[in-house]
Amino acid sequence: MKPLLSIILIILFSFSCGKNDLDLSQVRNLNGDKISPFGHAGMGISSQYPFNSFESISNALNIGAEGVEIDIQMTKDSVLVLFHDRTLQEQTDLEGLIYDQNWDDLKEATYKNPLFAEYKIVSLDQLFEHLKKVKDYQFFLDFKLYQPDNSDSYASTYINAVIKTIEKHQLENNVLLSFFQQKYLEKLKLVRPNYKLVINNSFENGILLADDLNAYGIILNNDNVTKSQIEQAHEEGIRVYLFGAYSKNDNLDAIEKHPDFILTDKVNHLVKVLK
Amino acid sequence: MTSFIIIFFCLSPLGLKSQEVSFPKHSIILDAGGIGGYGSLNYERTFFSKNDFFISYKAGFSFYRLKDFEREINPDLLFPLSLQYHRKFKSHQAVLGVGQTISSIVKASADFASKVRRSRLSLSGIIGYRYQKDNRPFSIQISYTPIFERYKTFQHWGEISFGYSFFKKNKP
Repeated sequence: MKPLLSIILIILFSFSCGKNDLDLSQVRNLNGDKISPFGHAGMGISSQYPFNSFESISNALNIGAEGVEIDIQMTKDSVLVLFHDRTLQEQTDLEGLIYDQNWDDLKEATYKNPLFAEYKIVSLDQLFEHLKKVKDYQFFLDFKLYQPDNSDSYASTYINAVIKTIEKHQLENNVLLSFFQQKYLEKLKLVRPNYKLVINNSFENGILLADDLNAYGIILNNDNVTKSQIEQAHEEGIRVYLFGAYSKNDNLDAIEKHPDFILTDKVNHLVKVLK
Repeated sequence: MTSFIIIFFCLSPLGLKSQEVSFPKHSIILDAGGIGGYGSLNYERTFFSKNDFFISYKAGFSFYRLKDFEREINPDLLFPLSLQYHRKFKSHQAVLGVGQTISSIVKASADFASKVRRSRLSLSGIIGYRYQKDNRPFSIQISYTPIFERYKTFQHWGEISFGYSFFKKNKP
């Protein structure tokens, strides 16, 4: 009996040691000295829910994420939809490109995985309309620009669609907007200087651009940034969003750098650790 | 492919011997993949056996998650059902079958305004190989299990199964 008891105690002890001893009181950043957990495309790419699906986003927020990062593209008839990939066929039963399709056709698409589930593509308007307690959350909108049209008129149409959707739901204070293309950031800043822009670039360029555009923050890959770089960004008044937290270890590694926000694939773990 | 299957299943009394042939009567089978989605626990029963073949039905259970996307206990349920023909060649079996999966999934409604539970039927085919030594309880099976989701969308799929059987004896 005694050996059995010893084994149980050793197992329990090893589990307790496995729990990370993070001291969150040491966190210093521009987010009230706390780190906010965000779901990456909802529950992340390894979830059973398709990433960017309504169900995935709702699940992440109901678990306790303070926000979600979502990938946005615009259809041919200027509807903003949540979808990551360039083409539809890898993830859905439709083929083609988002910017070549009208919303009426696109909303018939069904995600292939998980089997038997029939999850659908959601538009940004539908997400904001039907997500419960939508104003309690933050939405990091990562705009994917795959279309070949690089004209100013297309950019204006895109920016107008963004503004229209956000203002229809009065979510100006709940959205963070990230375009990789500088032109879109500049256009948006020009017409809506109060919107929170997040720069998606290398650390050095990101800091410069964030200064130029008076951006709210920069988004960086956890693998490519150091704690001292994040401190430097904070000294310049720039918040830091870290992505690339695909595992529990990545979550812990990201926390130790004291960013303001972490976009994670392991939402459950990050929420628990940061509580 | 079709001709291969015909040859495999029809032209072969090769495995026949005038000795006692054993057939599994009941089996418990754990599927990884297969017509139950990502995995399922199944009960298989042989209800007809003759010479070197037997026919079984298989019924299983699986679920994706216990809580729905609003974190309420509301599991997604899957019930894979199949009918399988097994041709025995000593320790080897060729398996051909057809399946139905009853799925009951919680999701957002078409307009995302509410939460709904959708139940659907999906058709599956099974072409597989099972290895099980005579009178031995353990078996392993590898199968190609294409799925016609909702009788509408075709998906290639497969499985690997691990079984434990309880036997009855037959004299051919």
